[in-house]
Amino acid sequence: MTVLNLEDEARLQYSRILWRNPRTRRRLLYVWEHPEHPHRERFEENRALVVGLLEVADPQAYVESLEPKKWSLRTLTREIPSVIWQFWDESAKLSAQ
Amino acid sequence: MPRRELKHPAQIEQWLADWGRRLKAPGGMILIGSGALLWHAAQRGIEIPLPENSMDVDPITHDDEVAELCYEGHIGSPFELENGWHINLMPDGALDGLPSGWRERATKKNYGMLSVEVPAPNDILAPKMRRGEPRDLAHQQWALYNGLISS
Repeated sequence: MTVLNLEDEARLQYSRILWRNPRTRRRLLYVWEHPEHPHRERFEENRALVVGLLEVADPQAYVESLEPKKWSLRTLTREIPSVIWQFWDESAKLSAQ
Repeated sequence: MPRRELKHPAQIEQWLADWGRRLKAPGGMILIGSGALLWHAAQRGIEIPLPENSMDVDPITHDDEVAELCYEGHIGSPFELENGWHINLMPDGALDGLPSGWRERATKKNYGMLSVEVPAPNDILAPKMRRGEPRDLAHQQWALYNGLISS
């Protein structure tokens, strides 16, 4: 069982909450897929794993189910790209669509 | 430009009332930290400002619309430019620092669509007292002076 620090826990908790609403999911993806996001390519490499983490009911059980055993909840949580606030503010225009 | 940090109890009430009007669906938050102390003061009609002004508020939510509003209030955001303080969205784990049974002592209030739950002043102050920095002690003294807690 991995204990996350508050920063990692907040990233996981609020990414999962915002992901479940299609509108806010679009905003997250606008940020994470932005050509200037420094971790865009890394996100693309691990996208399926990250999306799984955001959508499963039990993140800890999800990580433990992955093969090969290379991830912990902490390390996979850190694959959720950070929110670059400039891009987040830009993504507000998506809300009106 | 005059200083616009968070120090007046009425600032918390105005912020929550505004968000309660903006929500399109019911949403909730738990408020901790110095913003929560200001909330208690506002409920008692206290106008004495908080010493050692705060730069942020610390809400916790499970609702996407509330979380989105909190993201809009990130550090350096237009929200902060307007208000002088920002939203520091906290995870559930932040509640682990409160004394056990805090929920039984908490207070709830609705602002339109927004339901706000605020731990009791003594519970809010418990993590601050463990940290014990001068600013935390000043907030404890302010709470004592204003009758939010008893000695």
